[in-house]
Amino acid sequence: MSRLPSLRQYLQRIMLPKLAVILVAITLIIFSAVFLTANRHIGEVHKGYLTDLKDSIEQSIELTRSELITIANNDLLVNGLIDMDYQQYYLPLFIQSTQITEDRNLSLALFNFAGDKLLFKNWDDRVPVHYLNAWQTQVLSNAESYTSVNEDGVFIVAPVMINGMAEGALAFYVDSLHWIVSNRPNVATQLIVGEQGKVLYSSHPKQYPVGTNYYSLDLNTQYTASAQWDKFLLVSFEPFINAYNNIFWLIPILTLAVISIILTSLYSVRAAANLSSLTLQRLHENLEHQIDSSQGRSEKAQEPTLEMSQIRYAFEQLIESVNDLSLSNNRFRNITNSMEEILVVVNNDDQIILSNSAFTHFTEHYEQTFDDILKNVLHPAVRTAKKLQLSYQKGTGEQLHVSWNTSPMLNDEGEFIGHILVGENITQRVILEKDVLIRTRAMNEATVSIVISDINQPGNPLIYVNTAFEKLTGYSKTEVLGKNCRFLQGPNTAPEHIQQISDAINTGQGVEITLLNYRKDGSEFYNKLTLSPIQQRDGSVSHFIGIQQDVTLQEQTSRYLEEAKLRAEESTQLKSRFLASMSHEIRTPINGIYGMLGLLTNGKLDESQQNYVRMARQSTKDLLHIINDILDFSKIEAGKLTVERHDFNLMDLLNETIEHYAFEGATKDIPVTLTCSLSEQWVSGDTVRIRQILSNLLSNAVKFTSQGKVTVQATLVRAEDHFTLKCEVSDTGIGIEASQLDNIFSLFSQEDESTTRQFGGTGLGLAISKQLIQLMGGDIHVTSTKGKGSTFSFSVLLYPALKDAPAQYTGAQSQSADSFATGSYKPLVLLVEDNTINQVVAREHLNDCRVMVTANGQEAIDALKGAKAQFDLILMDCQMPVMDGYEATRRIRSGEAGDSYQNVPIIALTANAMKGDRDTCIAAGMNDYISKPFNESELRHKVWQWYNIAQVD
Amino acid sequence: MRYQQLLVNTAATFVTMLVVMLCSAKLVIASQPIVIGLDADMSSVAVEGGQAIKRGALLAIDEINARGGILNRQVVLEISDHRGNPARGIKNIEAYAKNPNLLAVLGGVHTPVALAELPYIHKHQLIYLGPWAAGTSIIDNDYSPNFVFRISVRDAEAAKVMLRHAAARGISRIALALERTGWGRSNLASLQQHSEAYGISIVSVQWINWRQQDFQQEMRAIAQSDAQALFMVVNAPEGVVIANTMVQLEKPLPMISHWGIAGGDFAARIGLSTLNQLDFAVLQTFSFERNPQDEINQRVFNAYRNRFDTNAQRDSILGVVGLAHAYDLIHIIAKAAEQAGTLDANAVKAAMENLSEHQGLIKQYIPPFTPTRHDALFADDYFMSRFNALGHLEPYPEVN
Repeated sequence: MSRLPSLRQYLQRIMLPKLAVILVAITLIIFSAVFLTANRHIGEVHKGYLTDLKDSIEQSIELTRSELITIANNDLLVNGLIDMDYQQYYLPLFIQSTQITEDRNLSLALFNFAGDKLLFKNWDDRVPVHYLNAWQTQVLSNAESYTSVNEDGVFIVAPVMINGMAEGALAFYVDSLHWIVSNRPNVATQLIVGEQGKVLYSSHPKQYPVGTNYYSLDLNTQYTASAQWDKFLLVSFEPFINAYNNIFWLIPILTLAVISIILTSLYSVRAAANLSSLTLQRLHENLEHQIDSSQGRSEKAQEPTLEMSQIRYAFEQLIESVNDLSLSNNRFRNITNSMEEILVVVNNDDQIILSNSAFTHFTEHYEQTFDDILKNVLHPAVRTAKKLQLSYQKGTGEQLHVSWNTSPMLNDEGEFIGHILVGENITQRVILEKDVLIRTRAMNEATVSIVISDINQPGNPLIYVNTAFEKLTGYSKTEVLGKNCRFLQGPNTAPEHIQQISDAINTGQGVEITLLNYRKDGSEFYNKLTLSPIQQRDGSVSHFIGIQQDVTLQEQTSRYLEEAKLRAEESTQLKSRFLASMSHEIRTPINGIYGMLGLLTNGKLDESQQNYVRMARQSTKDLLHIINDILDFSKIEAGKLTVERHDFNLMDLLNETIEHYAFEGATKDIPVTLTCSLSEQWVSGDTVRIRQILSNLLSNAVKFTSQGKVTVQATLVRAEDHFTLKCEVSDTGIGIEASQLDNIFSLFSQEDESTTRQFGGTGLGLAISKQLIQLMGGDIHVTSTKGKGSTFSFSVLLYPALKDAPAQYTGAQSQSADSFATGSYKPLVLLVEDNTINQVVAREHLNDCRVMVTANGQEAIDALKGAKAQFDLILMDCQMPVMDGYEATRRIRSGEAGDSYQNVPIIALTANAMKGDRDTCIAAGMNDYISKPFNESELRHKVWQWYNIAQVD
Repeated sequence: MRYQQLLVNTAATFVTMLVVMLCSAKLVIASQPIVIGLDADMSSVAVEGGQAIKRGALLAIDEINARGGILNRQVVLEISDHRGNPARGIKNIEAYAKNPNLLAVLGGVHTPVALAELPYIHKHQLIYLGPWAAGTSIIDNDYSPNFVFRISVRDAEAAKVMLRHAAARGISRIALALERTGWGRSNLASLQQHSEAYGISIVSVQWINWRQQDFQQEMRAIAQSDAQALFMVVNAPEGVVIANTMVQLEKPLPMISHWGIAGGDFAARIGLSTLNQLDFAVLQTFSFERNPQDEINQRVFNAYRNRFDTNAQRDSILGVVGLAHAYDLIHIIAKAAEQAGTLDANAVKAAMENLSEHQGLIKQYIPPFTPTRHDALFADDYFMSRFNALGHLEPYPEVN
């Protein structure tokens, strides 16, 4: 032992040589790093100078160029180009006084649009000739500025612009970059050198004058950096002494630092070696001491280092674990007692070696002795399996089921030394198993098909199907269990049904649908499937139970019914659509005819011609009436006829209607009279329809009466919450055969065909009237004697007025509105109408307005946007190609034609006399509605009315 | 001898060939259409004026061609755009001078261009017709013979009408805003000459450069001068700058303007809302609204709607004066050329000076021109107008 060196000597011998090598290397690295950094820093500084110089050149040129452009666009200069006879009084002064750079001798020249020189200073003999023609195209034709920087100077030309074109040019020239590049304050020198080596610019012109040759300069003692800009060489340099000046002072400091590092390291090595040797010695002493004091808990020595402390800790752990071993025996007992299972261990001599508290509890409560257990469990008469199930009964009748498990106990050498008996209480399980058995039986015997699939397994396989399922589908259990029930679906199964099912499964929702499925033999059947999710305690769905019923018969029946209904509705719709469009197509030309005839009436015609025109007009009117009837009928057919309810004066309505036919009757010398007794005048109902019914009856009465009279008797009787209006229209006309009375209200019915020939009409009027009356909760009857006359009596329900009667009811609008508020001003009207005839008619009627015509909605919007004048009013046809009137109105209201038209009055002109059209027009944003054919007074009245309203607003 | 004979024969053949060639050349020319040049600003600052002149000329040419042309040759309008730049105008005149089929050159809106072209018109002896530019010295030039004829306003006369209008409105102190060109100076001279006669004193004269964007300083001077109205002799772009500055004043002065602003779409550039805040009186010579029953008026208006703008209203045609002037000038030059029987400028000029009368769109000219009077319209033919709410010019109601 004594020949070994001490730890202190050993450490010093190893560490000192290595330390010396490392110190030398570090010193070298520090010195070279300092030098390299300094070098790079100087390089960066000069690169920065060169970048500054570059920026400075570009900025100077850009500055000069933009200054030139500003001058070129000075309005005095622009004016000078136009003002040829006086320009000599101010332009030369302007040019002479213009100073862009420090060069007092800079050259300037003004050219006209053709490139001819008008004015100049310092130009001839100074500007190199190759500049003179280089710029014209770019400046004068393209109206862009021209810049050229060369060894012989800087040449810039800017266009003089008038309204987007170059009408002249202003040119600028200095002989050197030197005049425009500004100086940057730094200690180094920067030069700009031309291609030929000529110095064009110098930041220190006294030492390195402009114009000298760069390559003849002696720069050996200078730190030099260079860069390229355009075709010029940029150079930045300064003497080495200056460049490295800032690192010389670092050398003594670095030397001192290295020496102190060496000294410190030597000291550290010595100290470390001493400390290690001392510490180990102490640990050694400490451990020896601890083992001596046996249990070692008396003293807790503190170690100075982590490693020492870890070694000490490991020793202490070792001692502690030896102590712990003796404690485990007690714990084992506690554990066996805490088991729910009955545990008893017996040796080869059937004597108990070990038992737990459950065993004690079992023997006490179920009055079992240890011998009983030995007899029944360990040595039963018949032993079938390793597990044995036994039942026990308490005195109270409570049953206990125990499953016994016997296993051999072996010693360390593997010899059999006894038995371990473990008894498990399985009472709950036995009860549950019984319950499940009953339910399974019930499901299996059910008459509806029941299936269960496990959706937690991949493919959601069926895990249960009952007998009814086998019967319904023809598949047997063994064929389908484990498969997804998709095998029931086939080519005609609706994909959306399949999707519905898979959605339900994915979201864990129940679903009930009827879908087409296939039996094993391929036959189709409609399956009414009810899928219900089975939720686990935690709310998650693990299975789906499906109940299936064959509903093929019901499904087929409902499909037939659905199809039949659809077909019926389709055909009705087709018919009414056809009629509606036909009616529109017929109306438009009739409007034209009616309007044109109206214009003819105003022309110069002799009496017989006037008569013909009047008759033609009457025929047109009648034709329109027939078309209206057809239209109403088509609506009845389509089930679209509705009855409105609004307040009106019944007396006025009756008077107005009868007045019209009284006038017609007067021409045949047949008086039409009204007698009435009304409990109330101001009521609520559908005026249009009531007037229609009354008009129908009156027009028939007047038409079929050649002598005598027509009387109307009306009574209004109040019931609890409504009124009943009873009307009787009696005539002394041709009457109706008793046999025809039953058919008179059928469609297309007149008394006989000869009547049609004699009196005209569609035969729809009475049928429509009857339908309307029934819609209004009433009925119609007729009594008649052939040759004596007929009496039609009807009743309809009316309702109390919703609002109080207005104080003054004015029936007709004042005609004084038909004039302009502004006297001589002619309102500007935009007529939007695709039919040429209607255009002419409207224009002629409005001959005291300025009317502009467009043929569709799109053109109208374009015209509103484009016109300088403000339109006062718009007449808008509803059905037009490209864009219809409703759409155009919506767009105008939304401001598409300009804000000023958002509130312009828009009056609809339409051949669609359908009920509800007015509502459609108002809903689209129109103000009013004129039904075609319009007459002059109606058109003029509406136009004036709305023009005046707009003016007041 | 033989040699001499040969020489004579060759010479004779040569001469014959030359004669034949000349004749055929003349025939070729005769079958080509007669050209009337239009030298105006078609793309810069007075586009609407140029457009109106072009349309007026085309309407007249349509009528002339429909009745067989001039001297049995069809007439075409050849357009050169001078953009208001005198230098371009001079180049255009040089180009027209080379055209053997040229009858006359129709000018444009800008007085400075016309003035700059005068030496070249007379150097090449071209008939120059002025449908718009109003500078007095365009006609009262020092050239003899004088090849320039004008149906338009004459600045010397314009000053009288504008001053008369101001006096009738009780205005006695006026400020002037003039463009810094020959046109502005021509008007300054006329206004100074005639103002005293109407009891009006000029209290401030302000100049505006072409393309000048700021008129604040000048407007301050005008406001401080205590003027009651501002007279304007400028084109539309500068008119917009002045009007936009005027509208910022607490009490904008009434503005009485020479018609330069009507040469561009002044109303559209300034916007109706600004326009309606200002009181403008603008010099005009013609409006379709003045004699709507007149047969020529109706014919030309209908032809205009048919050919150019079906939606045009009587008050909505921009630069309508240029249209009317050009229309009448083309008809008169056609008449003169027929009378002269040649395109020779001297002969046509003489015929122009000796026409007895012409029934035109603007008025009945008795006679249109004389050897000593090359202007056709005078103070009595002018009237003031104002912008209506739609920005269209209508005759000024009460004063006229």
